[in-house]
Amino acid sequence: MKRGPTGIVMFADVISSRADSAGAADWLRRLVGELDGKFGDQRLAPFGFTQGDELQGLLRVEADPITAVLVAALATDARPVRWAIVHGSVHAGRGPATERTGDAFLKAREAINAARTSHERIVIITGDGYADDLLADLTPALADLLDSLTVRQRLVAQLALIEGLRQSEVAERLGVRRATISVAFSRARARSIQHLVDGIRKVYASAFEGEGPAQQTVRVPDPVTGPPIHGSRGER
Amino acid sequence: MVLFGDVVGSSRDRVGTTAWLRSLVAELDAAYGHGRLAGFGFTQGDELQGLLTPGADPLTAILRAALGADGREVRWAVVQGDVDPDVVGGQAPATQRTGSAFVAARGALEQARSAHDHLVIDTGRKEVDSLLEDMAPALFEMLDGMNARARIVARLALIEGLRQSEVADRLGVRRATITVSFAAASIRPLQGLVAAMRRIYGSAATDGEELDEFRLVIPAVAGHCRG
Repeated sequence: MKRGPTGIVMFADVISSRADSAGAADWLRRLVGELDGKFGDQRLAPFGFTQGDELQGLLRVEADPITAVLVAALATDARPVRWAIVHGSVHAGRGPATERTGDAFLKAREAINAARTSHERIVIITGDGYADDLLADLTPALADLLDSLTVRQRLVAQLALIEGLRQSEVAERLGVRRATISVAFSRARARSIQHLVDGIRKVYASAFEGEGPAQQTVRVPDPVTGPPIHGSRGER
Repeated sequence: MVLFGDVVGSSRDRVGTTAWLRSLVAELDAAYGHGRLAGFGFTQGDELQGLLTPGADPLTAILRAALGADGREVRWAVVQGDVDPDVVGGQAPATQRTGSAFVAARGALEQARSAHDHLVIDTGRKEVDSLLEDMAPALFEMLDGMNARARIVARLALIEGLRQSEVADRLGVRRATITVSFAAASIRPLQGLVAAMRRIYGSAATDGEELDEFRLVIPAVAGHCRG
């Protein structure tokens, strides 16, 4: 069987969207537009969504899928979303993500079904057991911190974490004093979330180290570095 | 492994801080047992000092300090390195010992104070240290945000390793009540974060072996669990 090109498949499921199906579809349409703009040529296919209120995306392997999670979670009108993010082979094609297939799509389907049952919020599968175990342990904390934000805190976190503005720039954008924004930053847990996201990105990148110059590496070549321990998959 | 803990704002309540440190020292001495190279102690500057085996788990001390009935904010320095042998045959407490790891821990604690960080870590492997320092702010955010009730639940779940049903039994409340408490105290996200930090720390500290204390908290393995 021909192995397709490699990509990152992203499924996002709006939780309890049935209560407000029209609202959820409208929100997903705007999110699709925002993600299409944000990822541009890092996409292998345009984002799309299905009638079951499920967003689907297909990104190049060098794209950062965590950014999509932040974009959805820090929208001022954010809705609770469940994510499955799978790195793997996809069939060649031209259509939007919702019309594509391949091994990574099958795994993402399995992952999001399993996440629904286990109430996981963000499932990331890189194929590297060590990285995937760590990611499974770290993403609940990220989801927990993101969920705890108010509308105002999400706006501050969005400007800081997605647009990359400094405190002074966020103060200017929102038209408030520097001292006010300093308090808002700590209430929005901006620093904790930023650090945790950095950590999650490093673990994610470590799964692909040595696979090509485009990848960032965490486990840098280091003479004193022993082999990473591999947690057993069944220990949770 | 040298472990320093600095009680934040201790000058506002010297007497209370000293009493708190005394009970924490006793608790940590019991919790680490053979994982210690010296007894825990604290200095007049309200600084906790411990000297542990390289494979000991620093998260245990951090969790016990944060989740006591009277939790206080503590800045931590964790340094792996050389310590001078003790002239009185391995009996002197950590506060009377020296070595390059103590000097490094002193520097790390200063760094934590000026950067307002809760944890500075030096395992000798930079990528491991930076990964752990990326996770620390979220850990302390979640620990420090707890009320007294949440701390009790978190203590039973994270330190004693009890399941939801066991926590419910211990506290004499219904299962459904505990399910809500677990969610409110973010127990599951905290357990994941702590487990990830232990694995990452262990990969540097023990060359791939699991941390000593990590074994102890898994009930199935820990026939000798000190709970």
